[in-house]
Amino acid sequence: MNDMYVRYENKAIPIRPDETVLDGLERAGVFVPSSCRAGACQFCMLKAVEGKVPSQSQQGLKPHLKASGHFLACICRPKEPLACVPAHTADFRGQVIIQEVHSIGSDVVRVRFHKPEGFSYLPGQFITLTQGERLSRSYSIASFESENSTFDIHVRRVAQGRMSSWFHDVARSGDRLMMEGPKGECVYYPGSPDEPLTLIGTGTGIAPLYAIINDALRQKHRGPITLYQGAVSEKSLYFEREMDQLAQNHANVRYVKCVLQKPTREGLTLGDLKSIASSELTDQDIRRIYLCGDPGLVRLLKKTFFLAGVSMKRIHADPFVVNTVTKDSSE
Amino acid sequence: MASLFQRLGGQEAVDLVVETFYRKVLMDDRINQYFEDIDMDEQIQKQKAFLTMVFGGPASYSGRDMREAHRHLVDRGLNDQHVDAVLELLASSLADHGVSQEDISEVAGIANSVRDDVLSR
Repeated sequence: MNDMYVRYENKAIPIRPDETVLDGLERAGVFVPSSCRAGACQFCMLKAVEGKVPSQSQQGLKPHLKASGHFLACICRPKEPLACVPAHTADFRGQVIIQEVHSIGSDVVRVRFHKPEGFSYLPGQFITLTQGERLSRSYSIASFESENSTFDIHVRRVAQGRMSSWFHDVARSGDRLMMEGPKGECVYYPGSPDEPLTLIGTGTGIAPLYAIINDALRQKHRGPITLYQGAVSEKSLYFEREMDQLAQNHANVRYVKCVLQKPTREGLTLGDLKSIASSELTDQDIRRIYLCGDPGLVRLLKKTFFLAGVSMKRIHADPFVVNTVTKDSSE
Repeated sequence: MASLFQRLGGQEAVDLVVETFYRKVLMDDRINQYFEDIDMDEQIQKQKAFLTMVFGGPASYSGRDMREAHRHLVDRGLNDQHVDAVLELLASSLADHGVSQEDISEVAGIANSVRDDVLSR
């Protein structure tokens, strides 16, 4: 008896008892990028949208990918029929409507959207927005109450930034954009309520980190949580009041403000983010690290912590995408 | 008899060795110039695929892939000395994880078999 099949691109493809999903798809002439065929390289990752994949076929995947039904086709021998799509297919692709645009600082606006039906996110994830024909940018979601009927992004005005100028000067309530997402694995991972969390960011990158911290606290995280914020001067510290409040209300939350220019008031640390954060991290191998903000700095910190012994599986940073899709939120 | 891949500890062992190996590569001034400006997550996945192959795991890493992937580095001067350095770091990473000398030699032999593809010869 052989009634196992996988639905892919509207075709039902039979999978023989001795075959993996990858074997079956290839036999049917479907091209799936693959390399190691051993569950290591993750090139052949697909996402199941119907049916449950065997847990062995999710070996080595990060928790958010397991949760979203991703699996490795080369080591998947399905026990029940599956419907699957390419791995990068976003959960949501459609229109989103602006509820309001509100200034929250000299050069930052908060853009609040109506949450469309069928869209859900984890605090810390990002979305890609397209305005008009081809202007696309990715923005981190700044909200953390994911059950609400709206969600926010924070947009800093970027010199000569077409998308950020549009949000600042043109956008208003009722305007529509195309949205794709959510994406990213910079999220809170429940299950280890005592592990130390270290979050490091600059600019509006603080907004998603703030959302992750709030999510962690809502899920009763007990371990120490430290946020390092880097800024040129004390004036450019972003979200300072909100973070101060969070640290005041929660004994396990610490907020370290690092500024490059000599501060004129108490409570700030003079120096660059990398040296300050690195010098404080001693038991690095048990930490989980989140990085958000300036892409160059994120890359540098990622490498620094990895070389210091932190496993890449415990370093979370949104990918830096170049060309037409860049992360405005980091500027 | 168990394959080398199984003997070394399967996928979990690959995952452990690959991080040690990648750290050594990034810190080695003989070769780290060829590993800069690369997405670290992608690089780790590629190295996992490569190590699975050299461990004799059920991989099919084709010579053409190796050629394509390294051609631009050959243009930048990648040569036998660099391959030697990578093989040396691989051996010492395996030794760090308690792999026997005999198994290390076997791994080194398989890894060395892609040398000509990597160097576009």
